[in-house]
Amino acid sequence: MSNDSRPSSEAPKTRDGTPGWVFVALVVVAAIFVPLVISLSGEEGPDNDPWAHVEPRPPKTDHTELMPGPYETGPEVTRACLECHEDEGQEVLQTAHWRWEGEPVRLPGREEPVRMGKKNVINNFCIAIQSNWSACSACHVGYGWVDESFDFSQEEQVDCLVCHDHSGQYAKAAGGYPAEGVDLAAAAQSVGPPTRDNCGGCHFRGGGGNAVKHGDLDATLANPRPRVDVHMGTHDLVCVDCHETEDHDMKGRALSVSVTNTNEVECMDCHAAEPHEDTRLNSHVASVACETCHIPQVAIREATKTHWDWAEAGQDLPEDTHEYLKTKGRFEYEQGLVPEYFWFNGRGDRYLMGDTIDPSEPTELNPPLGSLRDPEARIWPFKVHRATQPYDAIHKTLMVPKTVGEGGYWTDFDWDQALRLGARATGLPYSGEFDFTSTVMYWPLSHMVQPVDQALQCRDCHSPEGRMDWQALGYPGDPAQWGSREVERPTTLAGIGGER
Amino acid sequence: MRVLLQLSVLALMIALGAEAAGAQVAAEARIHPRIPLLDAQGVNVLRSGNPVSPITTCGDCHDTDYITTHTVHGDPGLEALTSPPQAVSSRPWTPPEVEGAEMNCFLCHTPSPANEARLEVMARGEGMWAATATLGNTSIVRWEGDAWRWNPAAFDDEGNVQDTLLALQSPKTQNCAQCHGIAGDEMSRPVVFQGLGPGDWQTLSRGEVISPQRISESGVNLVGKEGLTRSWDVHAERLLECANCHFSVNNPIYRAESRETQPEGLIFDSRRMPLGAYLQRPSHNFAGQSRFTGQTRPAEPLSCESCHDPEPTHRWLPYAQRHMETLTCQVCHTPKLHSVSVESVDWTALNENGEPGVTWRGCAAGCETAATDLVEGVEPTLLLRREADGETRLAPYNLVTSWYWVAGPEGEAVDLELVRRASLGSAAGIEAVEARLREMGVGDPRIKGEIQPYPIHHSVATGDWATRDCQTCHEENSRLARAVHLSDHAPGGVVPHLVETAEAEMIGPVERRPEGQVVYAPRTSEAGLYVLGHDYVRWANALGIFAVLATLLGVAVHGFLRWRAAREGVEGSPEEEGPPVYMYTTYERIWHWLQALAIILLLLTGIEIHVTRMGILDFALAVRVHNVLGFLVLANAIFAAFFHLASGEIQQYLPRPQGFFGQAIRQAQYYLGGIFRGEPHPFEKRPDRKLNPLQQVTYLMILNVLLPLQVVTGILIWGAQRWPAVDGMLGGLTFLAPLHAFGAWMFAAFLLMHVYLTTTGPTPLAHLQAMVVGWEGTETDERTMDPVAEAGTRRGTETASETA
Repeated sequence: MSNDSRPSSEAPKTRDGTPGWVFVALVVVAAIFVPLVISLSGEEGPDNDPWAHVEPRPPKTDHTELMPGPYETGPEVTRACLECHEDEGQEVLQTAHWRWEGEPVRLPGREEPVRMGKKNVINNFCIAIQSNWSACSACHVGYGWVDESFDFSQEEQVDCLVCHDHSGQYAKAAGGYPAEGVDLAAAAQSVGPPTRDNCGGCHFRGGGGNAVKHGDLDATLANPRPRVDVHMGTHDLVCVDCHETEDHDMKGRALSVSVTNTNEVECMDCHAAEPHEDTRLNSHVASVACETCHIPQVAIREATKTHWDWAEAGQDLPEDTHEYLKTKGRFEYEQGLVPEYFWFNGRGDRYLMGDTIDPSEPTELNPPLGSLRDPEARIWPFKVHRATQPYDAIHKTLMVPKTVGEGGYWTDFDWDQALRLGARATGLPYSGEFDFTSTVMYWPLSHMVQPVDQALQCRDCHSPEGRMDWQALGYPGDPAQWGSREVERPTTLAGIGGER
Repeated sequence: MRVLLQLSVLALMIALGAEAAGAQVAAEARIHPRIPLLDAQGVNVLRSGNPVSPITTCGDCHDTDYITTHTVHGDPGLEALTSPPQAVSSRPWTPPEVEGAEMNCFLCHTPSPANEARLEVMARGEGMWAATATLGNTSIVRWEGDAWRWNPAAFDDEGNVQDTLLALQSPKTQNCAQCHGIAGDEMSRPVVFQGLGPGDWQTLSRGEVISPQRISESGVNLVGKEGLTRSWDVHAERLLECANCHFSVNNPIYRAESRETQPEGLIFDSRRMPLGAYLQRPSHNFAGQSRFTGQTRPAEPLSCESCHDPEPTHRWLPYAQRHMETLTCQVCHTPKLHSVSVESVDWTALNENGEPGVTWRGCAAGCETAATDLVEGVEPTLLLRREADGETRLAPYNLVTSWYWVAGPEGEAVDLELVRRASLGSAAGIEAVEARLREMGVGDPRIKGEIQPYPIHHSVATGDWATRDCQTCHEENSRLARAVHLSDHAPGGVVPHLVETAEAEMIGPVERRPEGQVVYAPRTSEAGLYVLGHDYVRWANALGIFAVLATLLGVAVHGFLRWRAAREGVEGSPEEEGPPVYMYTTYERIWHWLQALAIILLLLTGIEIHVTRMGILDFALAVRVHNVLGFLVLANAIFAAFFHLASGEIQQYLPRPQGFFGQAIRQAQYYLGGIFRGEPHPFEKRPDRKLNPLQQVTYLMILNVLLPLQVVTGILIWGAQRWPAVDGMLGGLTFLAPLHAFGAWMFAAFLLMHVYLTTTGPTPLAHLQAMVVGWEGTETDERTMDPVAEAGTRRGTETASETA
């Protein structure tokens, strides 16, 4: 070994001049930690951090100075908003929340594309808005839609407050105007990103009251317990956390008024496609929607309407909002509703105004599309609403009654008059003879997702007492015994959405 | 035919049993042809009004001779119970005779058998009506106040019974549950422990609940129930019925040649017994039948690995194979039964009804009624069992201890009626009962204590609910060595023993504690196990700790003395340093520090493994890190050895024989005296001669004895799972692990000494700095122990007093 007696200033250095001991230290540390890191990593469960996909919420800007008021009318507030938010008015005018109508879509068996939306479809709750606009527009994001002459191009008629008010005292009345006694200035100064109360003000109360329509949306979701809804309860997410919005265009589709699945909200927007540690559970994902196992029941706290018989309306019987009202007829409500299960690929068919029906059979107003053989279809949970509603006995079309206002059924209890006035508004021919027929609507369930320890277990479906009617779904029998359906798996697990 | 059925004695709390019958998976289609019901003479019961005879009725198509001789359900061999060597049950009962009872097909093969009615009939001794009573829930037969009457409306014109009423089917779990305990596929009715009786013996004797429901949704008064969101039994949850695992041994669906005897290269032998042949002679011996009735068991063991391959799901487990060679699956997958089970049965003093004193396990504060008392659950006891593959493994059991009177030279069990009469009003105790028994003419009555182990195979948990925490076993209070409470007191002071026919062994003694409790105290060493984190050899640890403490003391004293000497201004080593010398090359420093850091981390992780109480690191993490670093040390040592040999540096470590002892003593004297007087080192450190003789000897021992010892024992411990034979030859973990631990203590002592001695340079940090930057100042005042120049010659000035 050479006996180097060089002074320390000439201590061996690496090529770039770093002292040798640094090199030694680096090598030692690397030699220890690199093998450790390599051997200790590699135990990963499913890659599953849903929070990574939740957009950060925009901060709430204090509008107290910005919106001094006072304001007399809704449009006055809107004009003030538009002074700063110049583009937002036009943005809203393009949306379905404003137009109550979607883009033209093709429906199976029809040659021409159709534009449909709440503006012009029939449902089996309050039936349709034509001739009843002033009442229905209490849930329109605008002011003044009282008849068919409403001008959809006026951005000052946009109601900013219904979605952005945080004062809690803003309410809308007939025609969409602010209700009597609302302090518009207070509302305007309180604005912020929409909360569950904003959305729920309308969406919890569809069909004429709290919890009536959807089954999975009602006022308990304003402040739910974790066992009622894990997203809105345990994690305090608001609607727009999932229904992401860009330029006021909100993600999300309702099968009652939309038949396509573009721009849809999916579990997989945040959750991994195969999120279970158990491979047997993951093997269900191709045929069973997440919602099926994770929404074992809806209408958990509040009963939802499952039957509505309009034919019984008009009688002077004892009234109860959950049993019978003279204006509306007889109902059935159910709490803790167990869903019904059908194949669904995200798209639907729709009964349109003027279509003929077969009165001897229940008419499906919005049947979900999909089948055992459809690789994009999965088994979904639905709330099914069955009703008996009026139709033209000669023309065999469903009819829209005028219920609200002068001459409406709720005033005069005269079906013939109501149907005639409604026909005038819709333009459908009315023969003068009417009867009642059964209709069915399907409401796919996505809310009231319960915690994991409430999810369905194997025997909840795979047993003689199980929830699934296998033969109705097209299986020869229980797939646990017969084997799963053999379809080509889609290359992307599109589920109810487009490509991810 | 005289057939003894376990449930006929209602006074008994636990029934013996064989396992349930099971054929194929339940099918919903009704394919059984319509049949007439015949009495024992072969006459249609509609005509004769006699009880139905299943043997005659079913025997037309199914070979009942074959069935009744190939089953444990027809005759559990209970006749053998009267003599002590075969008294395998935890109750020395005299089985009653039930005249005329036959093997009862309807009990298992109809959907809603009337079991209570059947039991009543048998209690009255009317065995021939048992099968008829079993049909009591259908409209085929009715009890009309005084007799069973056949209902003609249930039969068609040809005298055949309506098949929708008889509804013959493959046995479902509910059929088995009639006798075997809480089992079923019921989802909507919550599980409760109400009304547990002799018919629930599987639950009573083991605590097993076989239900697909979530425990958190049951109606049981259970501690922590809300958090128990797992199902009672994962197989029941996953749609399995009893018969899916406990299939008939000649069932063509399941019956397959074992992989050991099958020709190599044959994956699946599709030759099968035709279905018709099977239906004609279906064996009613079932896979997985338990053995403890004392009968010869048909060779049809059931193993989890018949269906499961544990490898893909256990990759997270270090030494997975080693665990699976030592433990059965059930040890970790049934870590706890969330129910009650019987703990002890005292037959030595019966109450007025002839019932024994029973104590329970699983209740938070002693069970009065299992239905409503607060249930904590039971952790099974682990015994050693020899399995079909020849390995002995620990397996979970529930131990039921019983004491009963035996008499006579052969120790026959004393008739219970005699015991009951002798017990009446025996507040006085055992002596009084014994005296009364003698009065009754019982010769030489004495108490026998027996422990019956009931193996636990059900109530399986999976995933997160299985044991995953290493420290369940790898800990001082290891589950494997936890004492098990068998009873609060031992009647007559008799210490019980495991029954001779038990197929498992205890791994420790049964003891009486000072307050009278009887306790089973298992020891891992008796199972031939050395459990890291739990077991240790006392003297190896003691010696090792002593060495470390002694070193620490020595270092502290030496250091103190030097410090004091320095304070008193004793001339230290000359402070002038000569020109710096490049002492340690880059590679030397790398290999030294890598070794140092690795060894320090090995010691830290090692102490965590050895004594998991330290709680510095998670045990599994410590094991992993230790393994990685162990191999790093090995690789480093191999490279270093190569370097030293190839470069000739090895010479530095070899002491020159000539004059070695003299130099060594000189060096020792320096450390023990000279250093305090400020004398210079007797030995000059040069790049070509860095180590003094004492260092040479020390490093020789370290690098050629201690390090190889550690590395080799370490590899063998790591390899205990790969090469168990090699380990076995060398004494197994029981020898290797304490040796490795001792070596570790030695390394720790060396480390202390080594680090301290590096401070003996010109400045305390001089040598340390040298090992970091490579350069070191030389001492101008040279004192050399040059072996070549030995024999009196020295360089440099020195005083005579400094010579040796």
